Amino acid sequence: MSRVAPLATDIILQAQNVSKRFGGIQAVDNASLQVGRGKITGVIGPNGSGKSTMFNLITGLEKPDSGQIIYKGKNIAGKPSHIVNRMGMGRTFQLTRLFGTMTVLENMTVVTKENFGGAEALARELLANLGLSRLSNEYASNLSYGQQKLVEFLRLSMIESDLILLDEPFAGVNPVMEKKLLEQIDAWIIEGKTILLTDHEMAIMMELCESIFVFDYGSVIAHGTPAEVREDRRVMEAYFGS
Amino acid sequence: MATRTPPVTDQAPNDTNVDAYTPPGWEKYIGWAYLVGLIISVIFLLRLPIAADAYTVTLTLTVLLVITLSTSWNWLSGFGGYTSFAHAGFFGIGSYIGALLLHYEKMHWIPVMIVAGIGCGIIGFLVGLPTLRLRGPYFAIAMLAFTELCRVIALAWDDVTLGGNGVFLPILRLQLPEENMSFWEEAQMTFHNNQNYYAMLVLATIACIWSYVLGTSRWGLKLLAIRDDEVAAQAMGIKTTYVKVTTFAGSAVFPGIAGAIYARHVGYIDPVTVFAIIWSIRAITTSIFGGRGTIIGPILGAVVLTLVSEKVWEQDPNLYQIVYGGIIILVVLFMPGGLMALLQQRNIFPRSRRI
Amino acid sequence: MDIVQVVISGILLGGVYTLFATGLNLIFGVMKIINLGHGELMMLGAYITFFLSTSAGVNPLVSIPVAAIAMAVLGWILQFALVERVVNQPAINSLLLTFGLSTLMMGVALNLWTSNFRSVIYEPLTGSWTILTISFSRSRLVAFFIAILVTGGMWLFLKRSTFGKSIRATSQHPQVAQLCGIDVRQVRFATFALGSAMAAVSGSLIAMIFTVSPEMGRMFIGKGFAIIVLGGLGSFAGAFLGALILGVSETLTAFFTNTQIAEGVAYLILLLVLVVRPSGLFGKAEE
Repeated sequence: MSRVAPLATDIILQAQNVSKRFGGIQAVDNASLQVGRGKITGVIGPNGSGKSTMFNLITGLEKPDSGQIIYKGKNIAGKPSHIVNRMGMGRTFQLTRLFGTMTVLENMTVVTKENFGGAEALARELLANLGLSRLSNEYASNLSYGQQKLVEFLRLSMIESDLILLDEPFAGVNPVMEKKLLEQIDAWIIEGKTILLTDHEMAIMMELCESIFVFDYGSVIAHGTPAEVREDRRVMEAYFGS
Repeated sequence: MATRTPPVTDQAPNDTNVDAYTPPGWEKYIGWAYLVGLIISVIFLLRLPIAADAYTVTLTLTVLLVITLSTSWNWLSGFGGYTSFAHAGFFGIGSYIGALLLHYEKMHWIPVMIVAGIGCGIIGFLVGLPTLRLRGPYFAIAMLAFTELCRVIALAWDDVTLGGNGVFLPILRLQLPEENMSFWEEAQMTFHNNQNYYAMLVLATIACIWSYVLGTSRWGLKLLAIRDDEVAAQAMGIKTTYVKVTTFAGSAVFPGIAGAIYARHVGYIDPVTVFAIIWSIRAITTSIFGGRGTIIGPILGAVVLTLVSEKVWEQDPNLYQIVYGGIIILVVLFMPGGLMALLQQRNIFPRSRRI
Repeated sequence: MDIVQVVISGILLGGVYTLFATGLNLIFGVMKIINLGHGELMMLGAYITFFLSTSAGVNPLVSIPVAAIAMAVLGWILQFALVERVVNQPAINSLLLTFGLSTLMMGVALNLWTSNFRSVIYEPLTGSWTILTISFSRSRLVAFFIAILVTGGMWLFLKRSTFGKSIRATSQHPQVAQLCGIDVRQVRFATFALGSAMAAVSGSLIAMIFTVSPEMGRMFIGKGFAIIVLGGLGSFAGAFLGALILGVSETLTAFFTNTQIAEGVAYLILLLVLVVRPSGLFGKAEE
């Protein structure tokens, strides 16, 4: 099953033999992955296995040393992140990265396109849907961690994105908040968006993802459906040692 | 790639761990209040040269000059969080463009001011493009070097700049009052005799209006986003380099024109005085004292500190640097948000982008 | 032989620059703070030597340790009272704080001693020694050796002594250093004191070669940064190489043009290196 299984006919993102080195560390080593349009794809692996670096390479925060990243048929490897974002790719960060001295409302409206007149109305509507209206004029740095995660999700809803990358969205989040985040992911899928996420919450990952890539030491050591991945011996080794 | 464990403590979204802030109802009328205040101030300042003595006019000109410097510094450095020491550089370049054009070309002074401003804008763009890719502290050092390099060039390129001898500007011939002057003739005479003052008034007014426009616009929000988290801003599609460089170039125009007006006002410039770091010190100190990243903070700081320092200056010009250095230290340590933050904490002013 | 003479003169100057830049580098390494007041600490050191030699008749060479100790104490106090408060804050705050410090100290110097240029004259070190038809300015040669001695001593101290190792550990990883039982706060105090002492010694040496004035600090801070960006942050060898390059290019520029243009060399190098290769020409990439 280690061979590339025909996952989906319509591939929105394809990384081919991507490598990235930081000083003496090979953070990503000849890694390849595909993301099917409209699907939820997962990336798992131990801490330091290169998941976050891979996300940074895909979203243009880092430039790969070699390899191609094909998004919507174009090679975006090394393109600056605002260009990648304008092509319809949004992301969240491992630790939330809201603009601390700006209000919740401002955090959401600042990322929209120039000529988008209804930005504030949309932002207020999204906040109201989650019962967060009363926080709209609050500085982001005053929010609790869970609230910040939620606002980061809502900020993503403000931009027209086709592919959303979520970097450990469930880490440090309580069950109530987790449920809200999952609802939002469902909503995105219904809207036809594609999701690529990484997390350590195995139960959620196995349930949510249609396809999973397993990273270890910067390489993809296995991929397939959750059931296939779970059975893979190398995955067990990567996680628990042999 | 260190293991970072996010805090596990968090609460459901409806929990009240924050006293959600609601601005007062009159917050949205602040813009109109400014407009009224601006019109009253401008009318008062327009007729100041008729009513007051020359000393007061010169002092007011200095206040307007510092308002221009501190306000324009605030755009990139207050909103955008990139500390710049380049204001002295642009001030010097502007005064040299102005002085040399008047010296060699004998042009009318108004186009000269505009050329000085555009020149500084272009130089700001060219300097900002490579240096604003640097992280904040490195950009600050680069701007220190830029200003010093400008001074060295002005000294060394003496074929054009006349080097250390400095440049003398044409003397403004004052018109004397005559008997039976009509109101219109008298107004023309006042304008002619105080043209530098009026030029500075126009410049400071434009700077203040632009500050409001910028501070309340999406552009201003983008600058705040860059200050708070540049990587996230970029990942969310904000063209950070474009925003920074354009803001920097725009903010260079104002010290440039101010320098040119200053050169005409004092009648003589040399590299050591117009490229002096003190122009950056004034912009930075007044701006952070009033409140960096706010609209009226830099204006307030400029007015208060210039009037206070005028009293210090009269006694001892060197004391001035001690006082400004001390203020910078105290502000950074004890009131990082400046006067505006103090007033906002005490609820005298609402928390608003219009402040 | 003129060119050789000029290059040697530049190399000798580079020794003193190394000492100045190393102090700056040390403080940056441990605290990640760009100390814009470093030049003024050096200026104060120069004034100590000036006043001790002109008013009290103290041998300038003897005044060097006095200046070093005095500025170490001042450095410790500054760190304790001011800089410590902004260590873990955004860089903009430490930048503004040290800028305020620099402005304040320069203002004090201008107020006390006026902007006049003064010089220290020490008879045994005037004139020059001639070796193989090349003449060495005595003051520059002595200054070079003292600077290299102090810088080398500092290098050994950081390399060998327990406390030096604490400093290096803190500059590499403050959290880990703390977990290993190192009192990071104490390390920061000591670092600022040491850095200030190094600035003072370089100031005393400059006082013997050139002139003393309140504005000299502002001139040297640009040179210090130029050296650091040339040599890469945190590197002793890099700083030495950078200082030699700066010293020689300055004296060569002064030889072929004039001293006014030579003053711009440091700023030009600083800007060019920052734009072309921010991590330094000889340094390894940061992060």
